[in-house]
Amino acid sequence: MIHVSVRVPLSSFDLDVTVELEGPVTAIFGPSGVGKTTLLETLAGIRQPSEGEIRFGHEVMFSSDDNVFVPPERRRVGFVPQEALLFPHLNVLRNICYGARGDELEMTVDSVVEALEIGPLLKRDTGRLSGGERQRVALARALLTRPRLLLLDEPLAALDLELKERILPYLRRVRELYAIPAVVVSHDVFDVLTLCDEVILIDRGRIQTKGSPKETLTQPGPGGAFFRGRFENVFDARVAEQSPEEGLTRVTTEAGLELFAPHREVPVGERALFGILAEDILLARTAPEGLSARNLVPGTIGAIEEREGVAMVRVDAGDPIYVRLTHRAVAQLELEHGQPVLLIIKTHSIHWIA
Amino acid sequence: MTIDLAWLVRFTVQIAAAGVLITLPFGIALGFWLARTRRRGRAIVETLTTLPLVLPPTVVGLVLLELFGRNRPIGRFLYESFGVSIAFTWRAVVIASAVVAFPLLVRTVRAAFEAVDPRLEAIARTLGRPPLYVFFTITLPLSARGILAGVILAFSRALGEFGATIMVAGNIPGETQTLSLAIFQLVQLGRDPEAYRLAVVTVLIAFTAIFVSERLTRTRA
Repeated sequence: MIHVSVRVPLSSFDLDVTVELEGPVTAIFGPSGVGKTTLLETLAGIRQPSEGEIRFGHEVMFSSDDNVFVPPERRRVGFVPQEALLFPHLNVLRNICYGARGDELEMTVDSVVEALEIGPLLKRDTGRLSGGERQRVALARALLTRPRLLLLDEPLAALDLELKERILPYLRRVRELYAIPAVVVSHDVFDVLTLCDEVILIDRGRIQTKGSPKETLTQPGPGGAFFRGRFENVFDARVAEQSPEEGLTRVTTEAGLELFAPHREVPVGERALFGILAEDILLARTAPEGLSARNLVPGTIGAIEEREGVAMVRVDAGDPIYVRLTHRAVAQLELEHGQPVLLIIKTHSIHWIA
Repeated sequence: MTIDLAWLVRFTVQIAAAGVLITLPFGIALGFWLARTRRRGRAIVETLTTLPLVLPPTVVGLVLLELFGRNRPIGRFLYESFGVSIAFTWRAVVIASAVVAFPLLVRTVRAAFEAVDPRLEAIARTLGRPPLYVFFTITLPLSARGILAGVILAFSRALGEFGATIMVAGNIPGETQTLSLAIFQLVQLGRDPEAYRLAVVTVLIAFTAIFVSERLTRTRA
């Protein structure tokens, strides 16, 4: 467990956080420029807080009261920065071996190279690598120092890189193979939900919430709103029925919500995560006729939250489902708490997350 | 006065090389400090380092004479303790060229270090390597071309040193006389053709130094 309670002065605000990271894998979520990278740098020891304390387990890494500052080289933390920061004068192999410690344990150069699929790159110059390759090499370089904690900063991954280029699937493999605790900055809901055990939301240097990925990212509010500025309803469901000739897969959640998703060849009974953007759902007070949408879900209005020009309506339909409407829609439909409504969801508005 | 060209060339090159090599470790340390520190004293140190570059060399020579003359603090100490004379010997020539070339060395070295991303050094430290190891394996290799350029520049400046040298070391043929001092003396004696001959030799040496440095930096690029 990592205890952090620090204040770090930044140019326009202070990073001021107090939190226990229980892990093993913690995600840090938040808009850009709010201090996520600073927090990682502070943990790595390459940035010194003005006051506070950092402990890894019982070991004090920084304490302004006791005048302790353990330098980065003695913290055994593997830092993978956003831009990878490979050493430009060394080839890939010499980069990953830069801080390598002993070869006697299970984490050998060979095993790391194999897990991260960088074998064909070893003799190359770092200038001739793609973005995803650079990050994998940086991850290998960090792993070979046998860190007790991995720090990954990759806010660009989901935005700029192709799916195959992302580093987090490799981190999943690393997690299985070597079981190193990690703190990961990520913007990707999918990665956070499937890889991380807890999520911390940061905004302007302050911690907004901390909790399990599911409860943090699938509720509206700061967490949900971060998802590319949009809120996504996320459901944990099981495949109930396959109907390939109709192009449908019927899925049900534990709470009894039933949805028709686009067909995907997955065995019946398999678990899957689904997402529906709050803005892709229609809301009706009476049953419409002659609609193409395959999902007509009855529910009751649980809450109406209006802010910044939009209204978020929570409909209890087994699981809570959030619908994003305009103020005018809320007013003209005379929506209010406790009202029965119908949710209209196109099959293709439901997407498979995992 | 007879001109021993071979001796003159060898002496001048040796003096300049010695001046630069002796100051190189200090130039690298100071250049690195100036490139990385954000302390308040930085501006003053920077100004003091640049001073010999903008002062008339004769003033620099005068200051050196004040320090190293046999009746001056450092000069007397060295003479009485070790029997070593500085002023008006080849040692004063080395010191004069080193002092005058030092600012050029430091400024170029500092620029070379500033071009190295300090985050690379930070990452190297998170990989378990202490600062000195990081300096020699990351910072120095990445700035090697710039440092080499600084060395050549300082060497070229030391080669042509005149004002400070004549003040603190005089112009003694066969003892403290470098190429540029010899040229001065020959012109004073009205022996212009010989002076031109030495001038051509000086140009050749400077040309070679710069040509070699260009080649070295080109191939590393």
